[in-house]
Amino acid sequence: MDVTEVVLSRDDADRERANADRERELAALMRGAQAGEADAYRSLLTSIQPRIRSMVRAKIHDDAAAEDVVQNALLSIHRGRRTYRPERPFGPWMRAIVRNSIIDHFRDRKRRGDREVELIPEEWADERAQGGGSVETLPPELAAALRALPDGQREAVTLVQIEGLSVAEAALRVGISVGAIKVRAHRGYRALRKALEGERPGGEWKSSTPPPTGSRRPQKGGRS
Amino acid sequence: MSESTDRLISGLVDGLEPVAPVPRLRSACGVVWLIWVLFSGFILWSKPAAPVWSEWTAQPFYPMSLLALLAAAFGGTLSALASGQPGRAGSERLGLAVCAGGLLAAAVACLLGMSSSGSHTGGEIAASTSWLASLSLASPSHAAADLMCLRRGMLMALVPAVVFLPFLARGWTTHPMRAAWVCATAVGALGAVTIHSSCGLLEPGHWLVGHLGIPVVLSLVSLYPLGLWLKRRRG
Repeated sequence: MDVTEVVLSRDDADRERANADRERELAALMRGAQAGEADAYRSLLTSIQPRIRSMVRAKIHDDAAAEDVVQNALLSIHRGRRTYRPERPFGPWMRAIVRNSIIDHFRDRKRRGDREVELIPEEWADERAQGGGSVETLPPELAAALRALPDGQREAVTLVQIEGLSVAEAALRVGISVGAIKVRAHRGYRALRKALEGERPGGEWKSSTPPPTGSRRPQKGGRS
Repeated sequence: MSESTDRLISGLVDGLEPVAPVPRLRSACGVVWLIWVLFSGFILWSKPAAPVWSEWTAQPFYPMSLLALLAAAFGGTLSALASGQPGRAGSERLGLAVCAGGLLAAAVACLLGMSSSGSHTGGEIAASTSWLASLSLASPSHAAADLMCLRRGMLMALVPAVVFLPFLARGWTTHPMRAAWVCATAVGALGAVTIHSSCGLLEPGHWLVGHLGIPVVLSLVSLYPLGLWLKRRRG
């Protein structure tokens, strides 16, 4: 073996050792998380985020969609944490869950398609983005239509579209699955759209609120 | 790291509660098989018309089909339980291969048995139906025996199913529909082995329908509801 090969093989050995140490560290943090240690759990989730993000970004190039999948993966890791066996390596367990979140994203996208729901015009979305998201800032007819929704749908639409939470955050807040919050939000958007179509026949708004100006793209119904 | 992800992590940490890890895969398999062996042992002990060794050797495809069904049952158990533990894809695939191979081998053994000589009638049919006389079948026949074994087998599959489901409920399946199929097949195969080893009718045609039909019918009937349940449990 020449010098270059010796150096390379030493680098490989160092890298393997570093990976093995890292795996042991993550496994120990996961054991702590299973025991209910909050600090260990926070360290674990913060440490694995970059890895999860790089796995997701390798398959999903859209920023918002990728972030949603990262959050779904974290939520799935949280929900499935009892399935990690302490004597087994942490990496394969985590990767299986992340891969599954990516597959779910593509399956979901294929099922729903890229339907856009013309619901909240850009200036209202901007107001929400500036941190002013609340039902009071909505046009009266939209606020009334929102209040008329069933509780679950109203809550889902409010959390995701008005307060600007991600789907994963909204699911955690409500205590249901990501799939369930998406279904509720989607049904809410459909119901709102139906109600608002009745409010503005021929595209004219009945209230004094001016219609959205310009040719900007309408808000998508749901972030993922 | 986005602000939203930061908030999510804080939410997850705030809501953290201790959890007990799921049992080791081999322990879970051991529990299912032990309970099934005890149950099957009881059935065999209480069944007067179980085939004796001389009948086994007279019908060589009987032990072949029994071993194949056993393999399907064990492989399916391994695969179904591994499916609830992410990162156990190797065990899941191995179990699935053994399960599918076992079912295929059992079917081949039945077909070979049917094509060979030595179909049994009369006394064997009577022996197999007399044990459950309370079913009051009007006239013993292969079709009636098939139906009876199918029904009995599915009832017997309830015992391993009751043991299986709590393990699956605590798991996190990466492929809920596949896990549902494998679980139903495994449970059906366990019921089929119990029936196969206690049925007095040494007729390969009957085994194919009345015994091998148990995992097939169970998996068809329970695939969708079980798959949906597993998907919802996963969240």
